[in-house]
This record gives sequence, C-alpha cells and structure tokens, in this order.
Amino acid sequence: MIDIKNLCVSASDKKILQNFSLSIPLGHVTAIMGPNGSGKSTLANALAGHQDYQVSGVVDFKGSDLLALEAYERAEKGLFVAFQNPVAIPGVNNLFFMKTILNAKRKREGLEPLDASDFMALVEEKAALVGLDAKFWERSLNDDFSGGERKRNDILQMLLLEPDFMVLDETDSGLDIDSMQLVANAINSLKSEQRSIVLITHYQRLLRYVQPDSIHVLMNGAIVKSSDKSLVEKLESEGYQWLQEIE
Amino acid sequence: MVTRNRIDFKDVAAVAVQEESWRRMPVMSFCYQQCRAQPIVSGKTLVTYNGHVKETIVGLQSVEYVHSSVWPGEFLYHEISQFPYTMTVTLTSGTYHWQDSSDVGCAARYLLVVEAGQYCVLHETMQLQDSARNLDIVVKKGASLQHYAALKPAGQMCDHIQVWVEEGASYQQFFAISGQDVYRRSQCFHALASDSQVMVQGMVAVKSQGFVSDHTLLKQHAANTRSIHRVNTILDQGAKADVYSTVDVVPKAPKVTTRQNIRHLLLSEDAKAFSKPALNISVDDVDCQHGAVSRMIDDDLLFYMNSRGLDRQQATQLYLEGYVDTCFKGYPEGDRLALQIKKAIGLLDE
Ligand SMILES: Nc1ncnc2c1ncn2[C@@H]1O[C@H](COP(=O)(O)OP(=O)(O)OP(=O)(O)O)[C@@H](O)[C@H]1O
Ligand SMILES: [Mg+2]
Repeated sequence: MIDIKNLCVSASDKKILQNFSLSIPLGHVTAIMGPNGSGKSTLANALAGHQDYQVSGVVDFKGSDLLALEAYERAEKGLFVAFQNPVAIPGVNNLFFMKTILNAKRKREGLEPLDASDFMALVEEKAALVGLDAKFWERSLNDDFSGGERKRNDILQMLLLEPDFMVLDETDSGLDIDSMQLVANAINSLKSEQRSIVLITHYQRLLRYVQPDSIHVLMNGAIVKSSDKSLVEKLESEGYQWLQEIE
Repeated sequence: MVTRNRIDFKDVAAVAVQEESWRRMPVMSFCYQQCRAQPIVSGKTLVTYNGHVKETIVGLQSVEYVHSSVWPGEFLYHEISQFPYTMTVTLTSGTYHWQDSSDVGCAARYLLVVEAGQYCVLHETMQLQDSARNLDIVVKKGASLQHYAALKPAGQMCDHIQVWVEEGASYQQFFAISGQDVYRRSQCFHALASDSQVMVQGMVAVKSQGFVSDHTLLKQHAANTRSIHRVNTILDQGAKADVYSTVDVVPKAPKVTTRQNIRHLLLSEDAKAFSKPALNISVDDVDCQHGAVSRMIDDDLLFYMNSRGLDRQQATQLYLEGYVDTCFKGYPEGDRLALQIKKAIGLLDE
C-alpha cells in the first residue's frame, strides 16, 4: 500500500525525521510508538502534505509518488490522517463540512451527491459509532469542542470518507474509557483486506482493542525497533530507555 | 406650519478639530423641517433617483428627477449641507423598502424621522454613482429603527450619515458595502439621552484596487447609553479599506457601555487594511471593549480542509462562506446582505 524510503523531514531547519523507511502492506494494522518529540506527528503531517515541512526521499503510495502530490490530492487518493490536535475552524458549520467533503468524494467517483435525508441518515448512523449526536451538527467545525470530541469528530469524518490508508495520530489520547472502546470498534469496522491502518499511540489500551500486525518504535527520527505485538507489554513496563542503550 | 427642531452639538465640532483621526468628519449642525415630512406607506417601495422621490407614494409629492444640485466634487459636507433636503419623510411602525440610485454627479440630501414610540424596519439599497449624499435620521423618544443598508456605490462616492437617537430609542444599522471603486463614508451617531442605543455592524467586501474609507463616530451624550460598532472586511486584489471608529463619551456620562471591533481579512498579498479604533472617555464608570485585527486566512485551517480532499479554492470558499454567515448571524433579516457580500467575493454568481 505504502512504501516509504529514506524519508527525511525538517521544519524550520530542524531535522526531525532522518532516513525513515517503512513499508506498510495492504490489510495491515501497524503501530508506531515512541517517546515525546521523536517525530511521530511529523511523520503523519508530512505524509498528509503539511506546508511547514521540507521533505525528501521517496514515498510510493498505490503506485504514485505521494510527495509530489498536493495535500488534497493525497486525500483524494485515499489517505486520511486523524490529527493529534485537529484544528477548529470557526464559522464553518460542522455538518456542512462533512457533507461537503463527502459529496466532493462522491463527485470524484462519479456519484450523485447524497440528498439531505440520505446524508442525515448516514451521518447519524456513523456518528452513533463514535458517540456523537445532533448537538454537534449546528456548531462550527471543532470550535469549542473538547479534546476528546475533536478526536471523535475526526474519526466520524474518517467513517464517512472510508479511506484506504489511515494514519491515526494519538487518537486514543484524551478519550475516556467508553469513548476509547467506541472509537476502537469504529476503527475495526473499517479494517479490511483493502485498507491499511497506522496507529500512533503511547498506550497499550488501544492496541488491545485494535490488534496490530506489527509495531515500530520511533526514536530521534528513525525506527529503532520493529517487532510483533508482544513488544507492547515490554514497552509499557520498561519504557524506551533500554532501546536507547541497545542503540 | 413649520416647526424647527435645532440641536446644536458644539462638542462634535470640538472633537472634529482635536481628533486627527476625525479630520475628515465634517462639523455638523442640524436642523430639520417637518412641514413637508409626510408619512409614507409601510410595505411599499420608496424609489429615489438623483435625490428625489421617483415614484408617487401616498403622501409624498413626485418631483421631476433632475439633478438635485451640482455635486461639489469634494469630500465636503459643508457643501451639501447647504442644500435643502431633497426628501423628507417620517416613518411610523412598519417595514419600508427604499431604493436609491442616481446618474453621475448628483448630490442628495435626505431626512428620515422615526416618530416617537414607533418600531420601524428599513431596507435600503443604495446604488449611487459618482455622487455625494447626506442622510440624516432622527429616531425619536422610545422609537426603534432597524436599518438594513445594502450599499453598492460606484465611481467616486461620498456618503455622510448622521443619526440622532433620543431617550429610550434605539438605532441599529446592519450594512453591507461592496464594490471596486472608491467609497468614502463618514457617519456620526448621537446617543442623546438615557437608554438610547446605537448599534452599527456590517461587512465590507472590496476588490480590484477598490477603496473604502469608513469613518464612524459614536457619540454618547448621556449616562446609561450603549453603543456597538463592529466591522468585518474582506479585501482582495489590491483593495484597501480604512476603518476609523471613535467612541466619544462626554464627561459626566457614567454607566455607558461600548463595544468596538474591527476585523480585516486579506485575501491577497497586495490588499491593504488600516484600522483605528479610538475611545475618548473621561469618566471611570464605563464598560468598554475594543479590538482590531488584520489577517490572512490561516494556512493550518486550509491545510486541514485540504487533508479532507478539498482543494485550495474549495477550502477558501468554504471558509469565506462561514466567515460571512458568522458576521451576519443574529441579524434578524440579514440574508440579503449576506447574499450581497457572497456575490461580491465570488461565492455566488451576480
Ligand atoms: N513545524 C515545526 N517547526 C519546528 N519544530 C517542529 C515542528 N514540528 C515539530 N517540531 C519538532 O520536531 C520534534 C518532533 O515533533 P513531533 O510532534 O513529531 O513529536 P511526536 O513524536 O509526535 O511527539 P508526541 O508524542 O509528544 O506527540 C519535536 O522536537 C518538535 O518540537
Ligand atoms: Mg505527536
């Protein structure tokens, strides 16, 4: 699905990712863990095409050069990043935004826009999966949403768009226990042979609900350890220090 | 019968001299004659052309719509204020529509009086061209006027608006200014007595090297008066907007409330914005807030929308649509003004 080779990312002349390489096969759930500041969000943002990052290297995404595409083209190709801190956009109605992005996608696929009642039915069905409801429709996008509500709102967009490649940046941080379970179920509902998921997380809990096929530890901008899910418990009990020592 | 009603505001003159920001605001004296002021029928459309009433409306004489006088050619209030009013009307409770247009080079002078205790809504569409206009409004005791002003000036336009709000009365102006030429407006609002309120809020959308200069003086003459002034602009393609807002609370007028907010949104690198919010207050017991910002659309917001599959243009449009809707939210009948601004910034076809 995606093949990252020697990805270097810097921002304001600070080198953040250095020769980062990772291959994510179709149908896989990949977890990326690592200490604060190791570059996990930078990876997610650089893949999404954020304007603040200078990038080099090669990222092959479904046969095309991802880094050459504009941010919106990456989304069009099926990439979705649920951000660590989704921004608020005052004035842009939340429901209208969802309708706009969904119908833009349908248009690309040659489908008619959903009419109002079909759209509402779909939103309500998906929103129930992440515990959001009509209270959030009339509000501005993420504006004055709590941290957990923003995360769930991002996942709601993801459920509507049904992307093929999803990067979830600490979606579990800030979610209460029940919401975590809901969001995990929602993520599992999107799992398929045709889709890949990357979970960036600090905690074991989410990975108990959404079982990863592999785990990679990112430190100082590069992967220092790759393993199967058994690594999670060791990290949970021992932290990252021992990996630094091996290095 | 002629009744003369003269209000003399020496302070206005004093402020005009003192305040650099207010240099352009002319010294105004005021008198109006009620002799020919007749009520117009609510619900009908009042049409003025070249400063005169074009269509016969019950109670108003139709006048040949020749140019009312030679346009002074400068931004001088003194010149126009020498002319007699070209239209004088009184309003009683109801909803009014007013269309004001002209040929090039006219000078129009209007007086609207809202009778005591009356509740009026006025929808104005101004499409004057290369002209000067003076609009005086008196909102009498306990009356209320909601004034929706759709301003679509063309060429070089100068507008002088002066509003007197008597005790317990309220004047609310919701405006939309759109265009690509030069529009200069000076407005002066007098909250004359206890419980009089003035609210002026609206949006300016200019493009193609257009220029809007909007001077507003809110003068609170008495205790327990309130004023609100909020302006949002959207500037594109080398356009420029100067917004001056001065709240002037006379000495010995405590317990006044004022809100002032100027926000400019620049859509292109070559657009220019200037704000000068000022408060002249010499009493302690007041509740005032003011602020001004100029900015471009935040790249992070656009990026977020891009990351959901919207290209830059779609994202910008969505953002602007939300911006305009937010500005006009809470205006009871602001849809028409929102539409005007959306057309002006290309969100909707003309
Ligand atoms: N736009 C930027 N400009 C300058 N420095 C940046 C920028 N973005 C990130 N950094 C720096 O790069 C490093 C990696 O940041 P990043 O957000 O990717 O870490 P992270 O692994 O996601 O951490 P956390 O677990 O706390 O979310 C940090 O030191 C951060 O300060
Ligand atoms: Mg992070």
